Formats: sequence, structure tokens, C-alpha cells
Amino acid sequence: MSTRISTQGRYLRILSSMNRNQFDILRAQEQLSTGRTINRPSDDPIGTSRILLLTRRINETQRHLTSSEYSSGSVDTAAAALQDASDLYSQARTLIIKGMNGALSEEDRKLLANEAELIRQQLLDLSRSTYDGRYLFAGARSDTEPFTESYVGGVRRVSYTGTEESVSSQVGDGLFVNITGSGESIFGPGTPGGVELADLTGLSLGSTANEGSGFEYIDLRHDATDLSSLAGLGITSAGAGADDTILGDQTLSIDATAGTIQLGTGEVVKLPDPSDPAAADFVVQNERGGELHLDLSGYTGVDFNGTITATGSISIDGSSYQAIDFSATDLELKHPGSGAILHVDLTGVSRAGSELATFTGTTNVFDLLEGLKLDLLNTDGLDPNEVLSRLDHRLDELDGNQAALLRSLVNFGSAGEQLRNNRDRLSGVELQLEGLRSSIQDVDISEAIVKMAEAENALQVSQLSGVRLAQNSLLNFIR
Amino acid sequence: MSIGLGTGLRALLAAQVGLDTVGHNLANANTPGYSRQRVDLTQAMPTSVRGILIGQGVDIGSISRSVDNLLLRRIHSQVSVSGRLNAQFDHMVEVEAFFSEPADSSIGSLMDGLFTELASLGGSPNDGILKGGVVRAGVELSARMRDLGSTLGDIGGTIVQEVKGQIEEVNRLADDIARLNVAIGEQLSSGVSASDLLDQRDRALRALSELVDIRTLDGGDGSVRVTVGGNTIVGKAAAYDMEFTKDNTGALAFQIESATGYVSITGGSIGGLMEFQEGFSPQFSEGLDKIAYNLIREFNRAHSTGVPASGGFEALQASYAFQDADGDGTVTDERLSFSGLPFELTDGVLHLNVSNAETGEVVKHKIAIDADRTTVQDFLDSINEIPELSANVDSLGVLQLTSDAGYQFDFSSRLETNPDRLQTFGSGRASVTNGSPGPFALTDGDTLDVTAGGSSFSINFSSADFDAIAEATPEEIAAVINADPNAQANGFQAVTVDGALYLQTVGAGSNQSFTIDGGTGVAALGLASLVGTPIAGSDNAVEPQIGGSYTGTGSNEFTFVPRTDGTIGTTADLAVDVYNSAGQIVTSLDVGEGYVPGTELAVSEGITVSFGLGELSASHGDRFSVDVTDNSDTADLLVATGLNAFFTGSSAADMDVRTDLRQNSELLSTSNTGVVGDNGGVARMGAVQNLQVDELNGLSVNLFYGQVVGSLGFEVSTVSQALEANESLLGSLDQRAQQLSGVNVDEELVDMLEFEQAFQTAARYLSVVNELGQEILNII
Repeated sequence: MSTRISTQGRYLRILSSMNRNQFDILRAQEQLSTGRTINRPSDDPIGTSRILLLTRRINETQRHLTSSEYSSGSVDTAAAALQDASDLYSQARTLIIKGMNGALSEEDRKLLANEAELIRQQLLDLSRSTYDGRYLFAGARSDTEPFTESYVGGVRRVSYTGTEESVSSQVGDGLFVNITGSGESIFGPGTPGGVELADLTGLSLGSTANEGSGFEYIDLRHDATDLSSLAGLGITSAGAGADDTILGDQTLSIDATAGTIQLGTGEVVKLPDPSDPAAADFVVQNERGGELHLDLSGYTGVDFNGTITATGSISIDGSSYQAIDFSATDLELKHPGSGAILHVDLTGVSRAGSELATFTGTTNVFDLLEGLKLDLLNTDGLDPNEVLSRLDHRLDELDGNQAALLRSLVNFGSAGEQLRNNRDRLSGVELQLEGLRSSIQDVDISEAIVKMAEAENALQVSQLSGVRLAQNSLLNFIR
Repeated sequence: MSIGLGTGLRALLAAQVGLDTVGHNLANANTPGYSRQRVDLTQAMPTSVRGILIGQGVDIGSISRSVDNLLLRRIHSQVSVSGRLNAQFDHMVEVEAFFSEPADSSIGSLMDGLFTELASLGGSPNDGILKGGVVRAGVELSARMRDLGSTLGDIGGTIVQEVKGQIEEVNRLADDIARLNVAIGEQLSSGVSASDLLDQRDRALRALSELVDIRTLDGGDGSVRVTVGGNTIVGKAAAYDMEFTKDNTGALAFQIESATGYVSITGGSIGGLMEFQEGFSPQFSEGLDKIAYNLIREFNRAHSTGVPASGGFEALQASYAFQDADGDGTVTDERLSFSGLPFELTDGVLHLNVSNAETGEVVKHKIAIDADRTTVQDFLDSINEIPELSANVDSLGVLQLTSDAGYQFDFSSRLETNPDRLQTFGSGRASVTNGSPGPFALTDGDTLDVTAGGSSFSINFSSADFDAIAEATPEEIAAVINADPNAQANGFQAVTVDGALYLQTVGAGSNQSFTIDGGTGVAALGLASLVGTPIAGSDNAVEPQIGGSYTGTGSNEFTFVPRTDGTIGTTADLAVDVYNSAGQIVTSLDVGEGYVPGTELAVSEGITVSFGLGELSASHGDRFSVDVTDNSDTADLLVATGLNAFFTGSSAADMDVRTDLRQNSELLSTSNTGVVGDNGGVARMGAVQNLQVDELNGLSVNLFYGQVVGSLGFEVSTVSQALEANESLLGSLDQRAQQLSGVNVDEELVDMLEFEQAFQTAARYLSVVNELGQEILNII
């Protein structure tokens, strides 16, 4: 059958091809004006799914990037603060060593004490470092100053009010970085090692364990000296024993021939002439430096080798005293303010004074410096050797503190480094993902323009051919 | 001669009819559905003149349509397909536009926005502005969800209206066809060609095909019978109305007057709309609801177990009300699983912490829930048993929780830092246990004689105080002892720890003591061995402290039991054994000589413990337990009731942010512990983004959403492509029909010339015949 062409069909065909051409132009124009090849999911369903996935991943990467940058600021600030703190620790160390110099005058020590106070203040300031209004060393309690000062039993102490847990920030898939630290572990040594005594009075630890932190002063007070055994010698107590610092039973040996006197195993000293004014208040010291004040002005010059006894009291808080039982081997002392419990053996006590008990590895740097200041001020009037012994304990504690600080510094330092690497990595990932998304979603402008020009051409051709076709009618030839 | 005139006249008439037909064709060249008509000419029968047959010229046989009826049927069925696809496509494009992907205002972007706000908040969890940002992002997301959810729902209504309109059209067309059937029959029977009526009927059939998928059968006498889904809609002379109703399941259905059952329509625009309504539209509104449902559930799971930075709650109200499922007028007797809550409960444990606002001390409580058995009242009772809390259900079935003044509560998995609050582990109280979990075979009137607080007294056990006195539980015995006025007056009490009964002094210190003197119930209570032995308190309490954070999965209970008697840090080889909830030893802690009191010791899975100076007594049964869990609401009770929820609602159409949270973003549960810098809650909410949800085929909410949008695009593009293919197929079929039936103007013009010439020729012939006649007449 020969093909018939209907006139209506011809026009319809022209119309539909022009329609298609115009639709193509419209699509090309839409892509050009939005800059995207996919403007609705049906344009490219698989592409749409991939774009959605990539967009989610890009957003997540950006979130991690933002959080990395924020965390970096926090971590770097913390590291810088701890670096400064580390320098101050070194200063404190130098200061302790200076203070151990026996040749220092009281004035010099006072200056050192002032310096210790200054370092303490600076460290407290550093411990209160903030970033974006958040305390960096308060653990998770970032709206509160991490350390507060209070007086416990007359001693200024600092207590940690933050939390053990830190604030951590997510900076990657399953990657978390601590952006704050626990001040307790940064500014404290954190490895308790038991109690050490400065060994001033002859006090030793009892058999039961102890509980507490920082340090305590155990005050052993001299109450009275019983010199009744010396009655026959014409020796009496100078000032009714008010200045005596010996405790417990003491052996006193007076050798009239040699003219010497010795208390316990202390130094053998020459007896003064009874007529010497100094004889009215003559001091003999035992091996611990416990003093016995004697009035020798009426000394009859007789030998003596016997025991004298001094009674005393003991207190851990400096306010409630109990009489010392010199046979007690495990006396429990409880500090009502700090809650510390100490068990002491009193059998070796031979001298009154303030015994420094250090809970090793638990003194935070602030309390340590406070103690150091008190040591240097020497309010107990200790002699240089005794001060040195205390400073020695302080130095040990400072070493522990310094080690802990360095650990934290290293942690923050490496976290900062990790964050920088992470940032670089994330930026790379973001760029890569953006590129991938762009390759699916974004229009290649030149390609789109070419496409549009093609569609325009096609439209013009169909318009032209349509008109030409319509002109070809037999009517043109019939008259 | 007369033959010639007749022949000429017939030729003249034939040419005229031919020209008329050409004119009709030319006039209808652009009429849609018009079939070209042609004059069928036949030669007239010859007549015999004196035995010779002489032709009598031309006869007009008939005017016929050029039509291929089989092709028309194919076209009609293809028109049905087109109608179906077109109707679907129009609405699918609408749905696609609602989703507005990929663009910034889409649900996907808004979900991203919520997680971006959460990430910012994670860095500064107590920043009020950032908290507001999270809440606002939640509000925007839920508003968009509601918008989209309700729009998708509205489409359903629009479609019903559209289908109704189209059914009216179907009925009108059916009437037309029936009318035409009759008219065609009449014309044909009177021997007249019915071309134009047939064209009209074909047009009506085509219009009907566009609406529904029809089958046409030749009814004889020129009529057609039209069926839809096997049911006659147009008979030989009558049309049957189609109706839009609901079937017995409530689904939309069609009925035709002539038939009893329901008619299924799968083609045409009505079929397309029904398919959209029943297949496509639900697929996406259900997909969206699924996203909303799971997002609400997972997000609320993360939020509800958190604690606001400002601390716990003093009052909380549930988002979802309990329903009176059995219709007896009360809701409290409903079992939790069947109480009409939108989210499912499972068997599990709800951890509830009560904190003292002043001291900060946290006490943990566990409420076991058996989803299918625990009733609302059981649950309320469990909460009301906690002294500082009260719970009730208001007249609308909404659960309310309130704490006493000075107390707060929360549901976090935080650790109880002071786990020995009942003081049964080296505490200052004089304390002793028989170690047995019971039950104890007491008899009515049994006594326990005790000396405490300087006086001796006897505690009576009466069967009225027990469910079954022969099987007395430690809790029941403790209740009797604690209710005894002498015990109260003399500072003597009983507690239960780890299921065992402990007798102890109320006060602490070495001056506190009691002695079990005997009594008839001593043996039954397993205390016989303790009779006469004074139990003394101590000045130093061990006060165990729990630290660290639980890194394990699931829940566990660590029980700490000293192995021997001794003093912490002093007695040689003093050890504390730690058991897990399965009763296995997890670790043994050396707390004897050399242990510095207060030093943290690792227990297991991130948990640490430290012991203060004090005395432990294995012989007095010292022990304490610590609950650890990574999920403080394994029963999903908080999610199901919407306590401390972030989102409310359970589908796209009713999703929203909790009202009081919307008004006060400080209520956002950012932490696990109520400490301002703790971002544990934020982290858990943030983790929802990548959480794989079983109900979403193991995908995260985000990925599932991407899949929904992807399949939306896929369906739209599939239909669009099918539509394109069909249009071109229909086009080519139409083209073929046009080849046969369409008018070609040039062809008609040629015909016109032909008939014009035929007319002229016939006229000339007549004139010649006439001249011949004249010649003859002239002869006369």
C-alpha cells in the first residue's frame, strides 16, 4: 500500500517536533540558570541519591572541621597555659633549692617566701585559664573556677571543685579529643604513696594505715617538766619550764669533775660557772634539739646521772589537744576540718614541735607552695637543718607534681598536633567530596550552552521546514 | 437515445456527489477523529436493447468511511495506558516538588541542620544560644515534616474529588455511546450510511478509553457493547451508571449498576489515579512517616536519658497519654504494652536517679518492667515507693512525675558515686547480716530479742504483716522491724542489700552497738549463731567511692565483698572480691597493708573504686553493689510515654518539639550528669545521625531518607519514560490510522479536479446527446 499522508497528521507532526525542541531549550535554560544538571530527583534518580549522600558526608565533614578548629583553639590555649605553668614549676624548684641554703638570712627567706606566694598566685591564675568563657581545667564543670581557697585548721588550702571527667569534642568518625582537663590530675601528682613525717620530734607512724591528702602539721606541745630528781643538786627549772621543748623521759648526765652536762645523747656541753648570769637560764639540748632550760645558779657541784620527765600534749588541728601517752604505739589523730586520719607511734617522741606529715603524692601544687611559704617564713622557729628537712619533702612532692603536669602538657600538645593533622585531612576529604558532588550535580556551562544552541538550531530548522511544507499545496497551482 | 440521457445524468450526479464528498472531506480536514469518506462508484447494470447489452453508465454505490476498526481498538487501549500514565505523572511530579530535593529547604537539609547545630553545641554544651539553635532546628525540621506529611495526606482528598469528576464524565460518555448505538442502528436499518455517527461514537469511545480501560464488542446492528473490568457499561441501547463507593474493607471501589460486585479499574486516568492513591502515594507518605517515627524514637531515646545542664527535673509530664484500651473507664489497669502508646515497650529496666539538690548526692533506683504484664498502676506504685518521688496519671491519661522539694530526678546512666548509702560495707554503723536471701520460715508470733540503744526489747512477727509468714522475705521482715516503736526509739533498724537482710544501728560510731539476745524467731531468721555477740560500730567508715565511666555494653552489677575481716591499708592480705551480675569474680582488689586509703583501683570496664580508712568485716557480711549500664531505659518506657522527650508525635503529620522545650531551650538534656560542661547527652543525640535502625532496613535515618528520595526520583522518571514511550507509540498508531482515515488536502484537490472534469465530461456528453436529439428533430 502506498503511503498516504494526511494533512492533519503533517501539521501535528510539525507541532510535536517544535514542542520537543522547545522543551529541550527549556531544560538547557533551566540547567544554565540553576547551574545544576539535576533539579529534581527524577532528572537523575541515582545521581540524586549520590548527591544526597555526598551532601550528608560533606556536612558531616564540615561539622568535624568546625569542631576541630574550635577544639584546636581550646587545646592550644590549654597547652600554652600548661607550658607557662611548667616554667613556674621550674622557678619553684629553683626557689626550694635556694631555700635549702643554710646561709640564708631570715630576711632572704622572707623574700623567697614572697616569691613562692607569687608563683602560687600565678599558677592559680593559670589554673583558671578560659577559652570561649569556659574554664579549661575544671573537667566538665566548665562554668566554675576549678580551685577554691579556704582555710582549714588555720592553713590556707585549695580544693578542686571540678570533675574528673573532661569535656570531649567529636572531631571525626569515632574520633574524640578532650578539650578540657581535670585540674586535679594536672595540678596534683595523683599517685598517693602513704605518709611521710619530717622527723622533727621523734614521732613515727603507727601500725594502722592513714587517710588524707596534702599535708598536716601535728603539733606536739610541751606542758611541764618534772625536775624533782634534781632536787638535791640545787638545779631548778628556768622560767618554770615554760620554754622547755623536751618531751618524755630523758637521761640527764652531769659530770661535775669534767664540768659537763649532756641531755639524752645530745651534745655534751660545758657547765657555766654558777655565778655567771647565763647560769640562771642555761639551755641543754637533746639529740633532736629538744631544749631543757635549767637554772644552774644554785648548783651544788654534784654528779648526776638520772632521768627527768617532761609531759606534753598532741594535736593535729592545733586546737584540741590530748595528753601524750608516751607508750602509745598506734594513736589515732583525726582532723575534723580536713578529715585526715593519722595513726602515730609516740614511743620515740623526745621533742616538742610541729611535725610535718606529708601524704606523699597527694599535695596539689598550690598547697605545696603554701606549705613552702610557711616553711620559709619558719613560723615554728625551726633551725636551718629542720627547715631543710621540710624543704626536702616539698621538693619530692614538687617532682611528682611536675611529672604530672608534663604528662598533661604532652597530652594537650599531642592533641593539638592531632587536631592540626585532622584538620588537614578533613579539608582534603571535604575538597574531594565537593569535587565529586560537583561532578554529578553541577552544570558544565560550555556544554550546556552548546546543547542549548543545538536545541535552538533544531527548533529553527523544524520551524523553517514546517513553513516550507505548508507552502507546498496543490492549491498554488489550481486556478 | 434515452439511454444516453440516463447515462449522462447518472454520470453528472455521480460527479456531483463526488464533489460534495470532496467538499465534506476538505471541510473536515482538521476535525479530530474524522474519517475520510469516499464515494464508491459502480457501473450501472447494462440494459438489453434488441438482444444487445448496452452499459448504462455509472451508479453511486455508497459513501463509505475509510477506517481500520482493529487499529482503532488498539489505539483505544493505548489511549487507556496514556491516560493512566498521564494522571500518575501529573501527581507524582507534584509530590516530587513537595520534597524539594535537592535543595536547602528540604527535609534532608533540615535534618543535617539539626545535627550541625548539635555538633556546635557539643563544643560548648552550656551555650544558651547554641541550645536555642538546636531547638529551633528541631522545630524547623518538624514543621517541614508536618507540612510535607499533611500535603501528602491532602493529595489523597484531591484525588478522590478528581476521580469523582471523571466518573461523571464516564457516565456521560456511556450515555452518549448508548444514544449513538441507537441512532446508528436506525440509520443503518433504513439503508443510509452512518459514517458521521460512527465517527462520533469512535470519538466518544476514545474519550472513554482515556478515563477507563474498556473493551468493545460488536453488538450487531452497528452497535457496540462496552465493558469495564468485565462488566457492561454500555449495552446495545442502554448505559449503566458507574458509582464511586467504598468496599467492605473501607477501601475505595467502583460499582456498576448492571453488576453486583466491585469493578476493578486498572487503566485510564481513573486507573492511574487509583494506582497513585493506593500505591505510589502511600509508599512515600509511609516512607516519610517511617522516617519521622524512627527519628522521633531514636532522638528521644538519646534525649530522654540525658540531664539538662542545670540539673535534674522537679516535675515532668509525659507526651503521650495512656488509653483506656479495655474501655472500663480507668486507664491504670491497662498493661503497658496495651495502653495505646505510640511507641513499643520491651521488657527491661528503667533507671531512675534521685539527687539531693543541696548535697548533690545521687541515689539510683531500678524499676523492672515486663511490658506485657506490668500495668500502669504497677508502674506508678514502683515510682511512689521511692520516698522523694510521686507519680500519677491525670484525667486525660497523662503520666506526671514530681519530686519532693529539695530533690531532683533524672533517668541518666550516671554512676552512683556513693554506692554504700545503706552503710553495709565497713561503715560507721554496727551492721550484720545472716547473708541469706530467704525466704524465712517464721511462724505467727515469733520474736526477735534485741538489746540496742541501752535497752532490751522484743520485736514481734505477726502473720498479718506477711503475704505468707512461712515464706517471709527480707523486705517484709525489714518492714516489720522498722515499724517497731522500740526499734525506732532505740536507733535500731533493718535494710536489705542485694536481697539480704541487714540489721544495723541508725547511728554511726564506735559507741553504737547492738546485741541479738535471742527470741523464738532467731533460728528461722538464721541469726542463731550471732546471739549474744555484740555488734559494734566504728569511728572510721570505709565509704567506698565509685569513679570513672562505664565503657562496657549492656548492664552489669558489681558486688563488692571483703574476703576477710580487717582494716583498710593495714591488715595484711585484706582483699575485696568484685562479682559481676552473673556471680563471677571480675577482680580481686588488694586493699590490705600497703594500700593507701583513697587510692583509685580499677575494677572493670572503666569503673574505678577507692576505699577510705575503715574496717571491713567479712564475718558480718559486709557488701555493696553498684549498677552500671550503657542504657538506662532498656524498657523504652521514656520513649513510649514521651517523658523528657525532644520530639512529640509519632508520624510526619504530628511531629513537633516538646512544648516546654520549645519555650525554654535550657531544658535541653545536654549532659549525662547535670554538669554544665558534660556534653554526653549532646553526643548521644548527635550519634543518632549515623545510627543504624533495624526498622529502616539497617540504614541510618539520613540514608533511608536518601533512599526514599532516590526511589521517588526513580519512580517519577520511570513513569515519565513510560509516558514518553507510550506517547510515541500512540503517535505512530495515530499516524497509521491517519494514513488510512486522514484527509490529504492535495488528494482531495486531485479528486476535486477529477470530479470536476467528470462533471464537465458528463455535461458535454449530455450536450452531445442533446445535439443528436436536436439533429433528429430538425430532420422532422
